[in-house]
Amino acid sequence: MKLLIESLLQFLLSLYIATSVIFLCVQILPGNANQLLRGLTVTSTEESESIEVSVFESYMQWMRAIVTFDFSPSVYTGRDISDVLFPATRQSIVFILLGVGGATLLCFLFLNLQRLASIVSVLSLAPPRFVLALLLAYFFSDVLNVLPVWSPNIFVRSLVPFLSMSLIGGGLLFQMIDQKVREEYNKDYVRTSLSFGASRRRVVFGHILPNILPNTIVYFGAVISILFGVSAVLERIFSIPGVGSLFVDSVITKDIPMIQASSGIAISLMLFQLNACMYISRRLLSGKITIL
Amino acid sequence: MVKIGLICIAIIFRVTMLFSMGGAESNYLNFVISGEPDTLDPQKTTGTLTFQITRSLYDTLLEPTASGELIPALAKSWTFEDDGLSIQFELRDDVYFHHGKQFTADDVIATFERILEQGEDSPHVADFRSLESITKEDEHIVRFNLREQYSPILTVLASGWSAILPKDLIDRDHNFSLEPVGTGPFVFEGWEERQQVSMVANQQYTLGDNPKLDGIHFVFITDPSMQSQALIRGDVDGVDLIVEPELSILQNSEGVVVKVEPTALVLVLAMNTKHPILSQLEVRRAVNALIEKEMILRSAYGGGSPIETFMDIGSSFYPDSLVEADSVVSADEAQCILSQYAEEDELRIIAPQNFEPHVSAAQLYHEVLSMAGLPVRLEFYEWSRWLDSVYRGKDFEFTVIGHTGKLDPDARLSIFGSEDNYVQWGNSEVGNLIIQGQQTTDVEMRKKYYTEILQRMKDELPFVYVGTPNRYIALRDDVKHVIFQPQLETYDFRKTVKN
Repeated sequence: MKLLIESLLQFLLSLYIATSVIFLCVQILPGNANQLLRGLTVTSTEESESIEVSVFESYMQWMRAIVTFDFSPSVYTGRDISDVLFPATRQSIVFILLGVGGATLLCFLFLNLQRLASIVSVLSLAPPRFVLALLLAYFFSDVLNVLPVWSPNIFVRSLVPFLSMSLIGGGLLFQMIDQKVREEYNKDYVRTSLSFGASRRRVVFGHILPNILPNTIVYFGAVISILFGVSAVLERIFSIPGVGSLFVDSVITKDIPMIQASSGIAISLMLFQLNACMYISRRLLSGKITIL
Repeated sequence: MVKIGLICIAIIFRVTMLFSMGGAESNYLNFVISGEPDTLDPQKTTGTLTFQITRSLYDTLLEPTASGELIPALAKSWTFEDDGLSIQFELRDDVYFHHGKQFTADDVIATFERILEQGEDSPHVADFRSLESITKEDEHIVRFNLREQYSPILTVLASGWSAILPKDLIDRDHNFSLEPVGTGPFVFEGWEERQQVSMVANQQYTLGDNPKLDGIHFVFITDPSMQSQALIRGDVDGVDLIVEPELSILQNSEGVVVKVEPTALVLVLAMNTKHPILSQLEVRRAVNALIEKEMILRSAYGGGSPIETFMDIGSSFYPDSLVEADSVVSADEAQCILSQYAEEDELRIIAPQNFEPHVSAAQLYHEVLSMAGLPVRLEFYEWSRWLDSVYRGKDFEFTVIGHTGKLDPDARLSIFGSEDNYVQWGNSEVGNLIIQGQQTTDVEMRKKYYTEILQRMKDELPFVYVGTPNRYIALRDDVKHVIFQPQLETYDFRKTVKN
């Protein structure tokens, strides 16, 4: 229970800091953010002076909106933000979790193919994310002719970005886990196992990975955070309606309530909750706690 | 394990190919537009993206051809009566809305009352300021009563925001933003948020033949390189607004045809005519003489047609011939004139930074004018600052901008009836000509009045009239008969075929 409260407090503090920073960023943007947030449209100077609100008052409204989930409607579409935000968040979570799954599978594959994997993982991490995504789209659509660049079916359309996410996440995960595996290689239990004739694969998957899992599970949190940023880029390129592309679109259309809601709520919630989950899993797996 | 993984991946690819092949074979047109519209309610927006989609869902009383000429649509005919103070429209009696109700005069009245009732909330209410009332003469005859003679009202009625909505749904406060219902050639099927808007052919369409397509997907792909890759591969059938470097790639791609369409934009280098230096006609002429319009259009705007006055070249109101000024300034003379001001304070060339072609053009103007000895400096403003300081505040010397297309010349020229416009040029004589243009219904007479205004603008040069840029639209080679309307920037897919 103590751990849960500790995680919750940590999450709330992080959320508070993140949302306050976002609020400040919105305030320094050109245009009157206060008025947009209050849903007022004014044309003349006189009118705008009469409804001027202080930054503090506007900050309190902003925090109240976060607590009650009651945002102003989107300035661009006039729609209720929660109608757009929650499906987009769900879409991104599914997309990222699939990416993490793909990354994990690829990481295991890389651990099997040691030397080749090092080259592939470095190559997957070297170019900027959007370049890799476009290269993969070109490779699968033009060279191999097996995947379309665009399809009316979102499942088909998501395959290239899913592969990009898996490759980037898998490369990262492999780089981190491989380092740990190498450290374990010099330990007595590994040397003993090898001297008894166990294969490298059996030693890695049967002995090393179970031992280092509690310490490496936290890497997944880092990978999720990185993939979240990657997904924002990929969602926009491949027209996937996730929260990352929603955020970028709302910046372009200067839809300030949507910018605040998408960045403040969805991004912070997702990142910190996932990180809290990683933290708890690590504690559970390392045996320091037995029951919550 | 590796083998099993590879087999799984091969199966996924195979299934995916089957999925994607299925999409490509259908008679749906997948047309890419560069963003998502804010709404599908034509009366609640000014967004071009909305009208690009709603053009296929709704009809208007009259409609413009590609050259801007007005032809009958939901109205079979119209006549001006009472010295131009009322217009009687005879409506078609064979038109049905997508939900099955017949189109009548009541729908026309309810539609325009809806716009007027919204007041300030309606972005187009000002277009209807001359409209006093609409009366029903018969089930299929309506009369528009005007406060004053105002012939540009016809072009307003042909614009996307005058789309006719059904009265029964207006009365029920139907949400047209998300569920549009009109009489158009296609019936709304669905809006997958931030992915696509889908529509199917209206089999009861009577304003022409039934659409040849089974339906249209308006696809939102924002990334230009993905747009062109999807088109080259045949995943989509058409892409709007192609710019370099994608333009060159698509022009050299097999199976892709790039259409060059004129736009209705008027690109200008605007001059503040109240500035001590730029108030002198001699200086404005010198600046005009130095600017090579074709070079600017080619280098900054991807090509276009040069113009001589403040009207897009495709408009039927563009004058057939304009008289040259008495004293034409040569490039050497222009340099001499401008170099006299070498010691004066720098003049600012302000461009909106969000539009790359204007930024490039501003850099070219800067180079030309500074080489001629005029002290100039470049400044780039964020769009809202440009609107506040330059367009409304008139705080500039030079600015680079494009004026969007208008169906009626009155909408483009009426700001010059007085000096209360951003270049601070205009006079009462022009104002009188504008009023005469508004009050006459004779097209030839109107053309005469507007030619006179445009001749004055050519003589007095408050702008450097650079040109009308091209718009590039890329289509798969099996897609034919896509008609673009430049003033409204909309597409007509009624006759489009996909073989």
